[in-house]
Amino acid sequence: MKGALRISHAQAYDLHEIQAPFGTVVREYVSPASKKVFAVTWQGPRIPNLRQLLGAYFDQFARAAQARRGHGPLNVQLPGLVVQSAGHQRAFAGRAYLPQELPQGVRAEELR
Amino acid sequence: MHKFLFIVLLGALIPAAGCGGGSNSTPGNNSIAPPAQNVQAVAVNSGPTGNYLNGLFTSVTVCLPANASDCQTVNDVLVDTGSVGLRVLASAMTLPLPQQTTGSASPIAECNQFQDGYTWGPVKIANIKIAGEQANSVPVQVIGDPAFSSVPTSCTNTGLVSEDTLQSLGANGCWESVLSGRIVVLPAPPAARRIRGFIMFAPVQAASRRRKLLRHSCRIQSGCFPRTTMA
Repeated sequence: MKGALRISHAQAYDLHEIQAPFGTVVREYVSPASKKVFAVTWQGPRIPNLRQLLGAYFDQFARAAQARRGHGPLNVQLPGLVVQSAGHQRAFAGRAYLPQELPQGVRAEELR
Repeated sequence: MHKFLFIVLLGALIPAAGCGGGSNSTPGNNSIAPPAQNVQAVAVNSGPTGNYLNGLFTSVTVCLPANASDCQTVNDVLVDTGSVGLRVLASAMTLPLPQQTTGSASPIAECNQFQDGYTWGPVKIANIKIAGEQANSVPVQVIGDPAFSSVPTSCTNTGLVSEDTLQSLGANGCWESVLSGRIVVLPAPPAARRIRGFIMFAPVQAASRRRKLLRHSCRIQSGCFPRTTMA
């Protein structure tokens, strides 16, 4: 994402924080055991490139997002994938996570 | 910038005695304030496609900047308290608005994000009239213009839905209302099953308010990132 990377370590996960040039902060939550990313979150003036962030999970998310009717905060709940997007112009926030991959004791609400 | 927005449900303030079918001169009747320079009528409903839950809609008059008498009124414009500027579907526009261009004369188009989708289209110049207020030569996004049918991947890579049609936008356009205006929503009589109301702009300093309207709309031009220009 051509942004500055900052890595911090917590008990249940490692946190990789990237600030994109357009101002949005993206955080990747990495399981220390499997070394896999189990969640990404974003906050800032633009919704980031989710195709890049979600990788192999992007297509199923996009299908669900496209199929949605109505307006308002997005809450896509698929088997094995949750993506939530909210906010308004120039102040967006969202999270995507793999519920079955959350390390023990980690709640989705703390992924910000 | 401070934004002052108050949504007042007058129904909560109306004495219960006024709701009981007495004479229509009691405080409980639902008459809308008489039209004034600073009052803009709104309606709360499901929108032109019926897929909004209690959307707030109004009508905006758009005019050619070069000919102030050449105007059209766009109905069913969503009053969006969380966005900036005026955006109108190309399908709802009949006026040939001039295109905004870069210094090198390339047309400017914008990818605008909402929390649940995006709008893509050229930025054009118009005079906008709302209530008795007018802002001249401000940028307006024309959404879903067939002349700009190629949507860049930087706009689609959020995976969110395109809101470039009447069906997907659920409105003929959207307009941000936070111009130190105050939204007053009046409950309609039960038989009407509709809610209506108005937006009342602060009744002070009309010139300053016009500058604000201009400045807000200009944020389309200067504040939205990234701007995409097409050669």
